[in-house]
Amino acid sequence: MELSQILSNRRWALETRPFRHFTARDVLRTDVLAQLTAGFREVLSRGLAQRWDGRRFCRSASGYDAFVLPFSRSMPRAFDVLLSRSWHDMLASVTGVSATGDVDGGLHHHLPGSADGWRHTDLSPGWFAGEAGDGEVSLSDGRKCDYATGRAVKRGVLPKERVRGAAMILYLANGPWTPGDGGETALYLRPDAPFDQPDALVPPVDNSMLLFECTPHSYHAFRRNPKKPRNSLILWIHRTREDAVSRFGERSIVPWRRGQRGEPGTSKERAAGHA
Amino acid sequence: MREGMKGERRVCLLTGAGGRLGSTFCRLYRSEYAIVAVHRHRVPDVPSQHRSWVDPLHPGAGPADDPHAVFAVQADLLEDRQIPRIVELALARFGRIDLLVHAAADTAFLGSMLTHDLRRERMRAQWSLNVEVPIALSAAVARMFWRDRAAENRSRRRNVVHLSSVSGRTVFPGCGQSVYAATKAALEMAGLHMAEELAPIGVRSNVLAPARFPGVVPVECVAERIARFDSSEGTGEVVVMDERGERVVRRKGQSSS
Repeated sequence: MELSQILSNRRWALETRPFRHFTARDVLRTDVLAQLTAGFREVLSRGLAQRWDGRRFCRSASGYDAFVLPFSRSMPRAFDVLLSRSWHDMLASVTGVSATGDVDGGLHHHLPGSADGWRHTDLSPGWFAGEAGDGEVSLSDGRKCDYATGRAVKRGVLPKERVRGAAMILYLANGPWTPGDGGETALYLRPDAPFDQPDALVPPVDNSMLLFECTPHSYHAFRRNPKKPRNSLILWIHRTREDAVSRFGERSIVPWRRGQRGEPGTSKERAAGHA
Repeated sequence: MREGMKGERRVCLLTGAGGRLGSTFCRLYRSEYAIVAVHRHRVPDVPSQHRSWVDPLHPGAGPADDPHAVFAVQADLLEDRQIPRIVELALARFGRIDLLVHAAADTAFLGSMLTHDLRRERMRAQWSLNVEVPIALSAAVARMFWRDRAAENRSRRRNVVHLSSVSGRTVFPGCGQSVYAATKAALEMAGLHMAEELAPIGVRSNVLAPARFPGVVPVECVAERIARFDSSEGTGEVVVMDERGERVVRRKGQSSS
């Protein structure tokens, strides 16, 4: 399906404060959103797991109070539209990122009363096995190589390092939202600003989206949701490390903390610490 | 369109633009006024110089600006140096100020005044924002722009609108809002005295005292009443908006009713 047939709103707001980002409401056509919502709820109906089993939401890493299901080709087919090369290329074009075709991300579910996240830029490395074919994206696959460390899990895999180039959060399956429900994505001008005084708040309104290039200044965090569950789909496109270093410098790239992202099928929890 | 000289839009300097009333005013009147939208944390949810539009399928076409975008200014009004900065920015951007709206407020109910010792700094901050800042900002605009333009001010009906509250006129027992109420009562008197003190330079001053919005009074109605103050000729008036409707309860030179 062509993107012009998927998108409902082609008027995305480009905001410059507190850092350059895009927001949009009514992003997807009603029928497309309905399929994504049904797919999300189908996955949710499988239950919540404390350890990654590849098919259910599992508890994220310590410090990030959410359940996560990383992208895989075994997800409901409805999500294929967002894992397509055309969607990837559109995000790259809008954000101005020279993207490689590598995609990481997943579905996120916050139970009511989930804790605040932490401020971070998302300018972190990510390792992938293989190359994206023509017209395709290459999804991160923890069964082949560890996204955070690049350790090859499967014999014969030659992991390659990328750096997160842009982040997209699509809010869905939340139902009506009113101020006070929480679950917003907070944006900050400075990393030392008081957590409860963000410079901007993006509410988790269904079928709305937040998109930004991952830079040394793209500080954001999940805000607690005291009343209702908060659901989203989060996706990162990537750039080469050389590109990231030339743009931002080596020291701007934030390495993963030990244990922040684990390996599938082991005692460590697989995470995608994000807001 | 609210016209000023030569058909240009009137220039409105609005504090509290990130709040519910401020955002509503921006949304409803940005095509009629050139709005300087002063906010602290929350950017008003309307197009501004920080917001343009992109077609995701043709991002190379460049962002499209909105001709009625507000001019957003982020400032902490409790910092003294921000007051002249705000006025300078407004004048640099638009060259004049026709309407000054004090919508920024600390609306917290801080409990009994008898616990003053426990909340001294907090109470001072509320007093400062709700009373001192409107005075300081009005004085700054008068000093930096209105003072030597009496004839022009009168012909253009320049004015100040103070957002007070029914809490400043009625005791609501048991709510812990004594300090907040006192600030609104003080603001009402300041607004009335300001009508007297700005009269020689041709600038009007009025006070709007709504009940809780949107619970009792629709936010849009409060915003619309601000615009009507601007369109009118009156000065030194206090207008109450509550469940009984809208009415003038005080005029300059009259005692309160």
